[in-house]
Amino acid sequence: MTLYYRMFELFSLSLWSLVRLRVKPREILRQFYEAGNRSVLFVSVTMAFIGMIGVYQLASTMARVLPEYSTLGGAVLQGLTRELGPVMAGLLLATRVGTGMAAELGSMKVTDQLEAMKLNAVDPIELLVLPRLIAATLAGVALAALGTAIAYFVGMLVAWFGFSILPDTYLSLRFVREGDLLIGIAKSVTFGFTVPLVSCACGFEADEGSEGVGQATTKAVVISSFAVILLDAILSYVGEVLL
Amino acid sequence: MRLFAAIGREVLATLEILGALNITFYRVVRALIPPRLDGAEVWRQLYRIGFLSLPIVTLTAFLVGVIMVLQTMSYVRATGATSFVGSGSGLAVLAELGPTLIGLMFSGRVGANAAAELGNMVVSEQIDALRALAIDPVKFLVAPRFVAICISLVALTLVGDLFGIIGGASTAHWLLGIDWRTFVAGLLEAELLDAFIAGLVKAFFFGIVISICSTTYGLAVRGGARGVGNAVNGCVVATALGIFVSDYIITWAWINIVYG
Repeated sequence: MTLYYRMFELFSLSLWSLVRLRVKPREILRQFYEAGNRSVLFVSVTMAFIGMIGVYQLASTMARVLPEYSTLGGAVLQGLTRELGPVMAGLLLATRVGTGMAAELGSMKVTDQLEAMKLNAVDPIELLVLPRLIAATLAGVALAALGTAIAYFVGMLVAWFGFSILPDTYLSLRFVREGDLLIGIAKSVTFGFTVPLVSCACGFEADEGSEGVGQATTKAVVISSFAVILLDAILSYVGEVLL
Repeated sequence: MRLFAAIGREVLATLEILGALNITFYRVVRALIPPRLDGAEVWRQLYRIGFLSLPIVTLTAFLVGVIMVLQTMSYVRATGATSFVGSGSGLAVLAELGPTLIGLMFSGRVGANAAAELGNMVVSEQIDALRALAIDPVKFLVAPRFVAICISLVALTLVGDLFGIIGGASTAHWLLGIDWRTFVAGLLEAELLDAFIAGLVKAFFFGIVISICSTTYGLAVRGGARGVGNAVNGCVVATALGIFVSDYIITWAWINIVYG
């Protein structure tokens, strides 16, 4: 329970520092580089495989059920925009960025660096948590967009060479409505914000000793991945009802 | 020049990790070839790894079912074919997203935990102590985890399939107002036996990926608490990549064998 209390505390204190405009642009940029740029390769490779898998599955199902592929590209793009793009980006963010944050903050906690900061009148929320929250939220949206694009275009190659579907047929926007884009953006913002919040809280709650950091990192990836899946179900339902 | 140096460094580091993973896999297989396993340790790991993951896996699977029904709903509304809810979401849950997301959650809970645990044993020199007692850490620590992780993940995916379908059916019934019978009829009509089997095969291979990655990263830890955190981080990243790559290969093989 202390972990959830800690999440709430970090959330409200960061909001308070944000309201007082205690933002550190240099630190945000550094964290954005860490969370965004350094995840690009990982997200690209993984999302390329997801695009290949998705097109393979969908095209072979369509070949059996309705032997024509005119709806394939549009359906893939819609599924990626409102579902798989944001969710997979969120899970990959939890995997790469969340664990990194928990490991870094956890080892700072264990080696008493957080206490040292407080003694020097530096607020760890302002210096550590708020920049990570802002940077990871921006990075989450950017990575979701990048991942969706990569999966879609790699899927086009699979459709072209594996199923002889010409790009003219594949590239179509007809299934994607504004609502789908809105759901996708709402999801990626939510996941981009939740993952660093959970991970920072896990890092701050790390126990002393060398076991503590490992446990905090493990906890961060489990709780933030689960939070992504749970929030995805809730947001999908809200989107289904509202739009 | 600096660009080439950077690329070369990355490539070498990747090859080094791939080599380490293969060596671990080879040594585990060697340790299992005359199957002399510590039975008590395997049971203990099966309980810790398999049974204690049951709540998180069933919840994840249930939510995957819910999400997939909500997702297929937009196609159904466009085409008006309500029977597609059962077959479409059933295929996605059994063959694709069920095993993948259960594998990712399992990698977070169990793989990361094994890496942290073995890493702590390295840092506190317990592994060296085992070697000094002439006990092979691969045989004593890695092989039981390998067996337990593979068995548990297949069993958990089996349970997860059930909960995914329950989640999908209850969403279709209560939130979207589709009759139970329509959902189940759509599910049965689609003849998903091969998808179900493909999902379990995937789970087995994901188990291999998760156990080999986590134990390799765990035993390679250097330097204190920070090193353990970094090992866990590297382990989950490598596992996620491994899961998606093997997912693609198995999907490709399955579709070519069954329909090719």
